Amino acid sequence: MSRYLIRRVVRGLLTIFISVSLTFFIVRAMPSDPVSLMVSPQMTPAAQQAMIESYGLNQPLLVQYGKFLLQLFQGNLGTSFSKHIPVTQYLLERLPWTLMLLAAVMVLVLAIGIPVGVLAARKRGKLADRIISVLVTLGISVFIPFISFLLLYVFAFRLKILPTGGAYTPPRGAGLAYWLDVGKHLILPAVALTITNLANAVMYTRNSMIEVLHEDYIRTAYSKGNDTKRVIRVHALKNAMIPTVTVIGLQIGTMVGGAVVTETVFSWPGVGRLIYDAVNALDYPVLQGAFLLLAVAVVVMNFLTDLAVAWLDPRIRLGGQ
Amino acid sequence: MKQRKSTLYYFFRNRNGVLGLCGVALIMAIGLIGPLFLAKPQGYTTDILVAPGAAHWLGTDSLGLDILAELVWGARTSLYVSVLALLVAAAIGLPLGLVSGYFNNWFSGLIDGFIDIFLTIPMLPLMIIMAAIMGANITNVALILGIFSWPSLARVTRNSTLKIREMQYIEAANSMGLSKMRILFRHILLNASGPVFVNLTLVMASAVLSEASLSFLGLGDPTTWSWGTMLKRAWSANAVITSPNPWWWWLMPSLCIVLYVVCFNLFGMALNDTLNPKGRS
Amino acid sequence: MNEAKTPLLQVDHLSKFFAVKRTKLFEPRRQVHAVEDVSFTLYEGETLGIVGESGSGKSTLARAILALTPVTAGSVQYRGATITDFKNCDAGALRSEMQMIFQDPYASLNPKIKIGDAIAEPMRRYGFAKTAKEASVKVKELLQTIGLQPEVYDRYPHEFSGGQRQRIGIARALATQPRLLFCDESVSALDVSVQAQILNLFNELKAQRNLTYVFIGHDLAVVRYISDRILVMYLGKVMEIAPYDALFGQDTHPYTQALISAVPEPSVHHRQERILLTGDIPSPVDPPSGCRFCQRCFKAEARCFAEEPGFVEVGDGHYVRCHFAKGRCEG
Repeated sequence: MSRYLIRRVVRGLLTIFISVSLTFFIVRAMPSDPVSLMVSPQMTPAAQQAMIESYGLNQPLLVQYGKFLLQLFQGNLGTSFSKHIPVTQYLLERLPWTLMLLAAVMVLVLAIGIPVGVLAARKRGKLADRIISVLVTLGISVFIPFISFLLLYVFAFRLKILPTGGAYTPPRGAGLAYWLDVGKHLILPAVALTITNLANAVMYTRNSMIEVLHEDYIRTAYSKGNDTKRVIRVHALKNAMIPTVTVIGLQIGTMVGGAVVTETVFSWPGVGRLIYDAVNALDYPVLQGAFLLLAVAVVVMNFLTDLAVAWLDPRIRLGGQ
Repeated sequence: MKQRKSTLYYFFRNRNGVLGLCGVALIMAIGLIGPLFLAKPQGYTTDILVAPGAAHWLGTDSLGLDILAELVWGARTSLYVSVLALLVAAAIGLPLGLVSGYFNNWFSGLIDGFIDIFLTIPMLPLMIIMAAIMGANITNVALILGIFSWPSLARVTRNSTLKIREMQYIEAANSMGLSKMRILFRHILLNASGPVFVNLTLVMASAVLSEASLSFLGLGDPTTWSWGTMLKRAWSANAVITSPNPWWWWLMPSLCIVLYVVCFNLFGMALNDTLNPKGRS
Repeated sequence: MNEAKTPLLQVDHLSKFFAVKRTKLFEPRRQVHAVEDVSFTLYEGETLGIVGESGSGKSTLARAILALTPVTAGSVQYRGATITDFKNCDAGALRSEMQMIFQDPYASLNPKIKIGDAIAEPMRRYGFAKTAKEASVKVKELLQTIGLQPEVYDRYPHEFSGGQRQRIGIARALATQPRLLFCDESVSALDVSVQAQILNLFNELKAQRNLTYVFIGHDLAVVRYISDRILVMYLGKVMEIAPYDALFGQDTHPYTQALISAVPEPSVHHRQERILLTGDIPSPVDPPSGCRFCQRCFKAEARCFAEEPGFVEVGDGHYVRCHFAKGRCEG
């Protein structure tokens, strides 16, 4: 088990390293002048020169890379062009909202996806399964703005039962009322982001459940009697969930990308929305910093998923490769 | 002489696949031929936000331009983006996958490891950075999409190549002294085409999705009509929640995007099922 | 007919080892001794049969000679020139003169390529046909030689039976007008009746085109039918080399005797008693000292386990690697 976890940690670190390097090289490999991408044109020439020095933009690439890494270790992601505040601070203000959204999505995906997948597996070939399969096919093709617009139109515009955007209706309250308000605002964005990942989860749960249910040891247990059925179902479920959780882990990167669009549509004040604002303002340091932060978030979430898989999969938990 | 039921036969028994294929063909027809019939919407008119009717089958937008024309021109853009992204992804991914699968050495292990990690990174934010830097230009967007699509293609190609190179006919090709290039790009590629094609359809579908997302976020090409830019303009004008609601403005492009992706996905999934012996009933 | 025999291929002390993948980081590197210290001379115009059970190294030997896998030690000479691993020589020209016919007719032809194109491919690569048209004509001639209709040029492998596919494989090997053909278990995957047809085809082609064969197989009956001389391999080493008729006489290697006794004889009379081999097959990884066959040999004595026997000449061109072989000079 520890070998598995160590491998995963190393892999996570490598991922962060590659993300960092990608950011570095993209900015400097682009046809545009890297200076304009990193130093705000609004600054005074003296200030600009100081920035150029600190980034090492007039020095060889390797030196720049070193300075870049050093700055990252110090938590310095630069200064926003438009807001004139340190990027790190700006991002960290918004991060909790995105994490809240992602957590809600994960809960929904697992809480709905797995039971539906199990249902589809048990009613395989019958009407329920067919309907679910159609929904799944649609689900994986869904375009987030589309589903968001539909939800907004139906629930916010027509039925007027849910808000149209933001995380809360100002003024900012406190205590339980505040959190309930946030919760209300969370519903639509969470649902919008859930749909695609839900489809994947259902599909994988269904397929692996079907496979597991046909294993010999399950059939033997079934023939033994009723009570065993329930235990087996739970046990089979645990095995079937392994590929599901694994696949969710693989999808986290895409999910985060989807969060960007979702937050934009619903004006949810997370990192995604920040990216949208930064695009409009051509605020490059913020864009870079946001990507790095999201990459780290993905790595951490992947690691958590790996822990879950390790717990579920006895082959990993009990050692061996 | 034995006859074996051809792959085509099996494919056409798959209703979903046929449906998807028809959809794909229809979209291609519309995208290629449509713009010849409908003039490119430009400028503005006075028929602002007119509901679908006789004059404008799908209504007009806030500039008074016909939505149907915009959609048709958007179809052409989607095709352009898909195909260009496909070409870029294939140009990089296929040779890399073939070579890394055939010469299974430390270098290919490195590439495979890189691909593995690259696929877990959140790609949209990175695409956003690139698009923001490179500028709003439909060709740039397509290039970026291709650059982000090659890893998955390379991986599929590599996995197929790993299996195929163990085959005796590859050993025979070697013993005949055929050049490595020929073995890779003819003998192996011909047999790897199944899973590779499936991945290619997915590349096309995801290219349009990504382009729409990028355009929606404001990184699209303002001079080209694309479904994504249409949505952006609708969204910026708060079209979803205003009253009276110009639902045709935001619903139509969205539906087009979904249809495009669904058709390609159906086609790709059916292709996958056809090529997998297990999938055959 | 007493012609001087010209040596075509000379193999000297050829060895091929495969490294065993290490499971722990600091294990000593172990090797699979697939082929060890194999030497023989192949004369022009003959058919040399190589027989042995699975794992005896016969296929690996052929691949090592053809440089399809690199040689670990030893040398290969073709018509006097050293060609080991096809280094320091014109690999292209050599490959065209030495071709291989593979075992599995269902796997040795590329399923996505028309058989006509498959046969034309080596032709065009070596310049035996310059244009597609020329190739097409020559391929159709070749198809007729091997007994197929020229019209099948445009068909795919899956449209043919096993025997037909093997013929196509033969045509493909003949496309470069080779002098030497390696047949690696080329009939093993076929039905018995089809085997006979293909073997006869081999003999016809040999006479027509003045070919030299190395015929590899595990079925002694088949190998006997087609070979002039036979080489018996066991666990990577040559146990015996003999003209085909001498193999069935006296003074043969115990392993050969066991193999022969296993060949079914369609006769109601005098059935030779079947020699059953006991003991375990030793591992080809780091094999033991002494004779490779000692653990299963019915004649084995203490000496066999300690000391590896060398070749003893027991007759004209007949060599046996055994402590019990009676040399010509001995009584």
